[in-house]
Amino acid sequence: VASPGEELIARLGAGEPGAFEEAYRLYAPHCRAVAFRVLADDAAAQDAVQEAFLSLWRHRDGLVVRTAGIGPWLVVVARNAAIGIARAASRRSGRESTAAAVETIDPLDALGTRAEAVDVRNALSSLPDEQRTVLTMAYFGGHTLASVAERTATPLGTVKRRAQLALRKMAQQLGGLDT
Amino acid sequence: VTEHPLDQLEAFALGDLDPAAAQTVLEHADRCPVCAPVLADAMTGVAAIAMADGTRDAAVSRIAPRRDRFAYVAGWWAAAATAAVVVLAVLNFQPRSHATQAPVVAMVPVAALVHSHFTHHPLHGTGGDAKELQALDGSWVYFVADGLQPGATYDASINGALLGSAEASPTGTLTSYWVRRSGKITSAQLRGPGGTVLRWP
Repeated sequence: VASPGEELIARLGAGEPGAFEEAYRLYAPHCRAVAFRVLADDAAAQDAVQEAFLSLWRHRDGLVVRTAGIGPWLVVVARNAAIGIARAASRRSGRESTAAAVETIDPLDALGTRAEAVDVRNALSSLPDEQRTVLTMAYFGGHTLASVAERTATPLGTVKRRAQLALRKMAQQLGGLDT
Repeated sequence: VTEHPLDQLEAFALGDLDPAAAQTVLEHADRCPVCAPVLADAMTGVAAIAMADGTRDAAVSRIAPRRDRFAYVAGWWAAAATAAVVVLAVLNFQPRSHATQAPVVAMVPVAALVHSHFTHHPLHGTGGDAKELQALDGSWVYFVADGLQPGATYDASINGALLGSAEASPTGTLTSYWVRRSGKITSAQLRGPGGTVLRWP
């Protein structure tokens, strides 16, 4: 029996407009919150959300959304769109990027107290130090992996491998977290 | 991409890639049974962190006083996104990605689009590709463009009169929707930087 998420993906894959509206209703608030987290601007966050949903339509029958699920797929693509908008705005204005502004946030302190936040906190804490460092700098610090490599004097390939292992462990431990 | 971009999958999930590279990675992974599960794992990990990020609550609470506006805007965006999907499906027009500066906040007439109560025209010229859609009574006009200069501002005109301006996305796409008084539309134009012009007819 297909799960509700799988069913929605199947309907999207069939090109059903109603499925797209349902996906928007279910996931747009999450995407918007994540985009706002990056941009701190409501209108720009809406742009990122729209970009993510149009991308979903284009990639609706791809392997990735079917494997990751619509929620994680949309959240990541919306966050990427938001990062792209922030970088473009930063280039235009010469200001420091929004991501750089959160560099000083301690990720474990930044996490809330809700159950899923506790799960993430525990998952982060369980990572080996070098993997947690990469994930912390890349995700919470807004650094590129190349920047992480430079700042930690570690070969880029090693940093990428650590990011891969860290994210895989996070996925394994948090895979049940439905967005 | 002929080789597996295995060293870029985590970079994609973390937002580390520029839009063009990200698009290449995603398109490869969508067809690749080797890369898809690796990328899916990475996306699941990032999404889990993103959703549990405590500052999300702060962000939502900051917006809370504007809830009425949000509800209205969200409804519009849902309709706009749906309409855009319908339009893209109808026209088989596939921009690489999408960003909008909507000069007029108004409902995209989804019903009109679904029931094809509109006509569309390709815009020809330099500096990109675009289509212009218009209600049969001329009460709205919708521009969808691709291959524009990323981040550049474009002026949209109908019948020689300026409608307004919109900004291309970081990947050079643009959609904009305007409501106008009914009336026959005989020409449409997108004018960008450096003298680039796309026009119909």
